[in-house]
Amino acid sequence: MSFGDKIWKRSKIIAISVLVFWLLIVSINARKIFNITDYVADESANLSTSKGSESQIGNKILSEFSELNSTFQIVVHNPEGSILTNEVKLTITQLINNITYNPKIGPFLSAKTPYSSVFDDADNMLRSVLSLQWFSTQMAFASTHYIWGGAEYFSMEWVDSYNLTNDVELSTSIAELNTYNFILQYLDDNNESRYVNYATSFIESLAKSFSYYANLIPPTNTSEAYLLSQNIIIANNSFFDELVDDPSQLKLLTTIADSFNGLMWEDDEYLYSELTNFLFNSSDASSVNFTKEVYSNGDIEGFVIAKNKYLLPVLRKEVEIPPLSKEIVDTFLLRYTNYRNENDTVDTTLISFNLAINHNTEKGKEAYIELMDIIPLLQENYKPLEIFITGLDLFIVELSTDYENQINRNDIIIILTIVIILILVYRSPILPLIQLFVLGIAFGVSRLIFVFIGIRMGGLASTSLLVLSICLLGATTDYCVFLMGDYLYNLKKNKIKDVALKATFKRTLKSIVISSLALTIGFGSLILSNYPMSRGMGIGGTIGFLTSMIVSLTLIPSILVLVNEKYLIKWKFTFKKIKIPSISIRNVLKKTVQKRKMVLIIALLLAVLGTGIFLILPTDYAQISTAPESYHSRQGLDAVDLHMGTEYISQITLLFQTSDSDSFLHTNGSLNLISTQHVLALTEEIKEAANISFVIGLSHPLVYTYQESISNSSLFVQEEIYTLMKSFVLPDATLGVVYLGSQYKEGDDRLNSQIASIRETIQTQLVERNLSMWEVYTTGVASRIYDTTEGIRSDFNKILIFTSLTITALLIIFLRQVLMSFRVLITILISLGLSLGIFAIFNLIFFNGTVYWIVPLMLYAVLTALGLDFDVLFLGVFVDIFKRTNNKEEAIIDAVDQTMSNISVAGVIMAATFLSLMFTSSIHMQQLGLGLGIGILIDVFVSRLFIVPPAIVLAFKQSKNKKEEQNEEEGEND
Amino acid sequence: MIKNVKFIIFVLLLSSLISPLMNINAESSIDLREIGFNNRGYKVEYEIVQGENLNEMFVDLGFDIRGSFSTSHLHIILKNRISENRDIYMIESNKFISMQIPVFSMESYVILNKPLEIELNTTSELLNDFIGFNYQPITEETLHAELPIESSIVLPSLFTNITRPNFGALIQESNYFDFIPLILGNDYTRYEAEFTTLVLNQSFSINIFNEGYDEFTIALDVNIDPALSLKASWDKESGLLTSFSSHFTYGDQSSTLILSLKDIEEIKSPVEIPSSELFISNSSSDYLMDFQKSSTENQLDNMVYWVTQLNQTVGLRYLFTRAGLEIDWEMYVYEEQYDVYHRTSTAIHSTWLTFMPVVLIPAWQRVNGLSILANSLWTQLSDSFIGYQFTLSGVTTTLYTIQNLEFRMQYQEENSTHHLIWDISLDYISNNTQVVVPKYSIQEYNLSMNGWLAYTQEGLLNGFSIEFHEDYISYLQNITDLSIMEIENDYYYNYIIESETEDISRPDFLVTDETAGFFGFKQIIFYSIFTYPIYRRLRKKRDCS
Repeated sequence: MSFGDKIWKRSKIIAISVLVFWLLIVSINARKIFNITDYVADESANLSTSKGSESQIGNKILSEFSELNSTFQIVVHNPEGSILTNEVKLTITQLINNITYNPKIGPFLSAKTPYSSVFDDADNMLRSVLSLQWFSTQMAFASTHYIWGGAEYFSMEWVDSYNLTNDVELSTSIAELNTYNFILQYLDDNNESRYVNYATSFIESLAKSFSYYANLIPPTNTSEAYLLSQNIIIANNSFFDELVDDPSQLKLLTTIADSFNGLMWEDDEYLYSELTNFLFNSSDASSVNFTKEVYSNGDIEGFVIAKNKYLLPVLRKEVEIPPLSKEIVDTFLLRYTNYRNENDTVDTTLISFNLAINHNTEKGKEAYIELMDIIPLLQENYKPLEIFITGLDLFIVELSTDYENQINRNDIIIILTIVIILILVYRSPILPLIQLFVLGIAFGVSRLIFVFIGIRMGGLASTSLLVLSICLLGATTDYCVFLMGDYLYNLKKNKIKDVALKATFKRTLKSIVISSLALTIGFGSLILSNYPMSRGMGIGGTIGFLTSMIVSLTLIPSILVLVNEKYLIKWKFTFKKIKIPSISIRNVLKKTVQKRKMVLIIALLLAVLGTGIFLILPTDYAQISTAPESYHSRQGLDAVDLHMGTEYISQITLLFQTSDSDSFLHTNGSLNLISTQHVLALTEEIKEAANISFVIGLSHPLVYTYQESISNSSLFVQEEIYTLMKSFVLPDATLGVVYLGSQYKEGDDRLNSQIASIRETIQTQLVERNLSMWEVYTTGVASRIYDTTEGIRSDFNKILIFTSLTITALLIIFLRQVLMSFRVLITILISLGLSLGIFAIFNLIFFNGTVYWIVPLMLYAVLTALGLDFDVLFLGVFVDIFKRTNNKEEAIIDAVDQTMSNISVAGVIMAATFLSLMFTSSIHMQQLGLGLGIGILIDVFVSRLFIVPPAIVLAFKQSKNKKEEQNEEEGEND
Repeated sequence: MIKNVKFIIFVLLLSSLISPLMNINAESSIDLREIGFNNRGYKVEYEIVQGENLNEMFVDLGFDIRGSFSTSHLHIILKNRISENRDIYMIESNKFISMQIPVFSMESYVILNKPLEIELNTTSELLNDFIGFNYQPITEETLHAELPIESSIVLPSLFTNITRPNFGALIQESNYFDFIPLILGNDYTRYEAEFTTLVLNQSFSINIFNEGYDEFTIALDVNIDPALSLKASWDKESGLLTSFSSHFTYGDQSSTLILSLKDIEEIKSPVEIPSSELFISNSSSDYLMDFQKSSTENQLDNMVYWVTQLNQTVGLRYLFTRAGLEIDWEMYVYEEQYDVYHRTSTAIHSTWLTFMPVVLIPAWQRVNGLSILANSLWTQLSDSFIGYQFTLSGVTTTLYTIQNLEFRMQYQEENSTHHLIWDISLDYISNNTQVVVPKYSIQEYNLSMNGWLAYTQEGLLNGFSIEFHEDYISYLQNITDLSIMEIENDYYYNYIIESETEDISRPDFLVTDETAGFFGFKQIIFYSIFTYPIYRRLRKKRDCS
């Protein structure tokens, strides 16, 4: 007794144990299966730029410092006029309050600048500048006090003690000590004690010099002594060099020593006007008053009060305060508002929030969900202001939650569709029940494997689950229909259950195993891709095909063994069947087979045409701009586009990385003008070459002021530029950024060519300027999309070729026929081309004319899967008949006839399944459903009927000899 | 009846509606700068979120921490507020000015929500710095320990307990944590002005959000290695720190640590319910401490020095004060030889900040948690210590081997008195070969210490004792037959510090070995019930046959 017979003997026990095994596996883990969404990672990995691209590297560097990968923006638009009013400032502050004090969002706002808005950044900027001014004023006051106050007091003391002692040395040291005490007290009284060290050194130097000159001609009275001191200070101010390192302070001390009426050192009014002249190079009354207001005689709160008073008027350009040049205000307005030139009304602002954690963490996701919840309330509360929100992370969270909802809904819709169609086809409730049961088990098992792998891989995305569901449902339905259909067919022929079962196995087993293995390996090869989405799809497909093969091949036979064959066709409803006009199909078939070359050429041409139409359509990469309009992120982006300008959306960030020696800041914190100049020149070149309209960042737009400031004696013009420019230098001072705004929208080819041209220009310029140590990364939103697109495009091509070749190679191994295997591939590609063309036409009519990028990929996957299934099954039947008739044309027509109903049923089920996705709310799902539905219908009713048969005949001809040899071999074996 | 049900439902609904409202009211009306602390305190609870890379950053410091502090809670108990004269640094004049500042006494601890694994390499620089004495381990070993869930870790003060940021610490010592007060005073414009002046220091860049905001927020970038940025927000009404986040960039890694205010609740002292809400506030007691010293040598000077050191370095008095205990501190050292008491008093080193010993704050749950934590740590670590070799180098380098190390700690509750007792003993030996005349020079140290703290239900320290014993013997050993050639030095110390108590005494360790209770009373009953039917059936069978 053979092994097979032994199995048949115990078939019932084995069948029951198989059934129990699958049931237990699924029921024990039911919780995991139903809560699959807990194990699904979000779409961020899929949306990320392909690994190693320039924009990704740049973005990574940037995100280290500013957490750019978790940013959201709020757009505030005032339809009633300017936003630079007190009222709107208050409202915006309150709006920011509402977000920053939200317990789910606030604490996670980045430790870096928690948010930036024109008001807050101007506020901080103004405060920094004014604080510098405050300290400079204090320094000036203190220096005057110890230089001229010291000189005066020293002279008096010296004369007094000289009159007493008549000893130059002694009176000098007495005077020095007394002056020291006096100045110490004086500085302390004026809150200037931080300058005590300078004062001490100064008095020491003065005394030393004084004693030298006094030894030559001792002064006799106070005015002589003072004159001597004055001469020493003015003529010999080189000792200030030894006193201080800071050039600004040295300049200040020299000014105080040289051009100053020393006797008026206690006159504050005089000091204010003199020092204002030095600090701002102007001595008009308003500047002097401003200095006075900020310093307010050493009260440190003075500048905070002045800052609050002048903030809005400065932003509105109503007043000009000395330390803040017009260009700085322009930079601010350009950065945060829709300000372009003096005539515009500034009515929109962009507020950026950085979250210290991203949406991948539990808390981060919670924060974003909370944000989506509160935004409608805020929009309501702050009317008439228009408030929008956008951001990449927000979009990912929105998309992921949407997908998660879709997954659950998709499954229900798909299962319902399958039930309805199965009942229609079989007209018996038992068969669909069996099929549903098998589907359910396969579904459960595949999801378990998905969870298992997902946990180990750190989460698989929902798209991967989607692919899994689609592949699994498709393949399992197919295998069920094959197995059960064939079983019923054999039952009709043999009437004996065991014989029928054996026959069924013999006929279908091989084709199921071959096709599912080929598909598994073909799709599995996607796992090798370095693009996360393809990887996810590979894993999903692999799990789907393998599970459906294993479950179908074990479970269906078990059920068939256990279920009495009578019940399978019991309760069959009878309704009048619409007769398929099979005769006419036979005739058409005959014609196509006869004119096979022509038919194939026409099909090929049509396929090429279809592909052409498809390629014309723009691709939708599931970016924010193509998201459904109900998404907050989409609304926000549209608002930015509308109110702020395209430049804010199509932003290209240039990240300059210098060598350590060229870093943008010197070790003492001052700006490295040489490196900055390089950035400036490079940016100018890029602006020129790529026709960029909007530039802001390191060295821009203060080019003009820069050159001025070098010659300007004003201390503050330089300092203020430093303060501003430093905000474009990252904490690691070898890194600096420049933001470019393109006037073209994403998806526009001109934007792509701009980015390409920028990269090219940078490369040539770096070489030209001999900056080989520098790295410049083109990153930012636009560049990331560009790189993603490029990545997907090249990846798509690679996937197509790689998978096709793998599957063909596998077919060659399985079928041992080279030509036939390539023929399979070519017919699949032809039906892909046709489907793409028709899908593109439908898309133009029913959708927005952009193709969701995943559709062709999935279409390819499903068509390969189906085409292969059908083809292998079909080929088996064809060879079977050909052996008997030895007439290719007859054989092919008979084969089509015999497999007609099975394949048609399977095809209709699957097409309907996918078309049911049209009832979901997501435009992407709808596209996917439509594309796959069309593809399957074409494959089943066009390709299988009119393309595959002639192709088989054509290919079979050349491999005839080989086939005959095989036949002979088989004959000998018999 | 139905009427009643409806009424009950109504009341339930009403109460469920009102309770959240009441909570909100209670929260918003607190101003911690003004509110009273008589017989009550406040528990402030923060939730921790830890970035992913933080563990790896610790590795560079010689730690290997797996697991995360995320979702753990930081509890800060505010116990009292007093007005203190403090020297506050004024940046604009570069000098310290004495001011009256509200100062809070508080303690902080983290309750773990996930187990935390810690590995510490014995060769790490961190340990080396910590131990001093030119400590050198002989073999590289990795100590591994797991802190169980709900362990409490007592933290050093992350935040200053005064209401005013102290810039002196920030600028002069770069001690980032010292300038973040848990509760901020009312003078926001002044703080804004002062914080802004930090811009002058090139390592800082700063953003402040003040005017128009309900919270006062500073965001500070500290441009050092590792680069650090901090953000802290205080509620202007209550003065309380509502969130604190830090972002580190170290090498090419970056990570975050975020604390966000979860809850603040008033807690009473002493409370009626003996739950975790117990704490000490303004308790005061008088203790007379007796130091008995007996030694074969005259080590009195050493002893006084030791106590002084203890007082200064551990800041014992300071700790007691911070715990809310006003202790009248009198210390006597008794010299047995001459039958003389010496009185010692030393100045308190007040600036010293330290880990607050958890035992001083009797939140019983945590005392219990501490003993569990300590014991479980010990069971994990004890094996790796026995036979552990290290060198300490002073004038000469000496190799030491740990021969025995034991530790026991137990928490007991008895007659509403809470006891914490512990035993530590350490035996180590040095074994040096002398080359000139070949022989071994052996030094044996046997140190043991036991301690006891007893608190009443109300949190008063009722009794305590700390006993320290040291046996020392050094001798020369023959290199061939290992016979003792000559005893070089031989003494013992025994120090006891204990409170004078009448009605309570140190309890003994309870044996809690479960297997030993095999024939306990309950077991006997259980076995009887279990075996009786079998016995009956057997007898029936026997009777039948």
